[in-house]
Amino acid sequence: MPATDRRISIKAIIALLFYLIIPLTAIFIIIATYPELSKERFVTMVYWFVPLAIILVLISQASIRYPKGHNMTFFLDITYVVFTVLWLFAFIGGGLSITQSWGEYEFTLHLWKYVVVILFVAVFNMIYYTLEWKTYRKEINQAS
Amino acid sequence: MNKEKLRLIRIAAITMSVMLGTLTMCNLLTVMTHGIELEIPDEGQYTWAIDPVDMKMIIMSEFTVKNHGAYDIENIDINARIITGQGKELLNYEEKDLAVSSGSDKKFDIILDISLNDIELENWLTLLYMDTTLSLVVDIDAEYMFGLIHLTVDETLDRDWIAPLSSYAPEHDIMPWILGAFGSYSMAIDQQIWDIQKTAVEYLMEVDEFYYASEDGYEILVTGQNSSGELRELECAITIPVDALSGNIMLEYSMTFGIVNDIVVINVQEVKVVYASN
Repeated sequence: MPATDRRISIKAIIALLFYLIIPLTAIFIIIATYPELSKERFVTMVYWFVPLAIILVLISQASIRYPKGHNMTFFLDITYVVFTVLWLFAFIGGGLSITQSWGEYEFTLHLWKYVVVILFVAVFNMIYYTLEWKTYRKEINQAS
Repeated sequence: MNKEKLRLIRIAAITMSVMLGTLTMCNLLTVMTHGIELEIPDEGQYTWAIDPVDMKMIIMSEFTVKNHGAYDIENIDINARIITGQGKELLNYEEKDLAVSSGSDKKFDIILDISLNDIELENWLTLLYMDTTLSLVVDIDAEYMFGLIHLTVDETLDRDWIAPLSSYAPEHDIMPWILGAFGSYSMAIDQQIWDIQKTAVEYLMEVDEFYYASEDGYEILVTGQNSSGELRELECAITIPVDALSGNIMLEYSMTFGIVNDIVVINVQEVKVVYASN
């Protein structure tokens, strides 16, 4: 079955689950389980990552309209990676550190090493999509 | 590049992405929802003891780290300092490379070992005479999730310190003078203190002996020695009952002092701190 004939892509379903439904459910469970926690932080997280998750689902769905090796597929894949990084940033609070309370005392989580790992994985994915685009583009050019 | 190699890279990329997403959701949310907690003892949870042979004051307590996160907390470094309101450091406590395994609660014993002979007289005087605020400055560093997350705690806990001798001053006419004279060694001098100090120094230049004892066991004995020009030698012995230690701390020191060019000069010598149990 050609990719363009599918109504909903598996990638879009996975993105919907992984970037939207599971995190939202987790946050609602946390808010219900720990009413003493400040809701403000979680509301801010939801405010940022929900639109990004919707964009990721739409990109995933749009990418099945084009075959591998197509310039538009490449563009959508790279955009997907960029938005995934933004989603992760939104999820960790949008900065390199998070201040939380530890018992009655405040503590700070410094996440710069974690962010380096995020960027490394993002670059790795971009390299993959570039190689995929180059490999399949050759096939398209040869066929035409 | 052939498609087989491309597929392997794809698998690696997906695996890394899924792991990263899982780490983000599972671990960060755990940390943010009291998955890790620290219980620091409050004022009433300290135990004091004295080792009279080695002249050590031992303060014992414990703190608990609850690690209900998915990974061990490692490389916990703790630095705690007690600082007086005048900025003098009374105590510096350090522990390094502690660890708390995932899913466990761990108690750490705090044993502060203070040599009574090593406490500077200046700090003793500050604590004896001056109501102040003692600041416990706590710095904690730790690593979580393979060191990818660095945790830091920088807390300053202020506690009021009521100087044991300051409350006795009004009961005896001469006490403010004496306290002023001794305390001038460490106090920041304002005009009012300067007046008290000068009066006290003038008084102590004249008397051969001064003794004061309170009902609660505080004793001050000052013995005047030889005068040399504008300076005079004094032998001082101060006994302070400490209920928490079930005994007394005796501070013995000699000093020369006087007024030179209208300025109070005080030189403290031969300090000795003695503990005596009841």
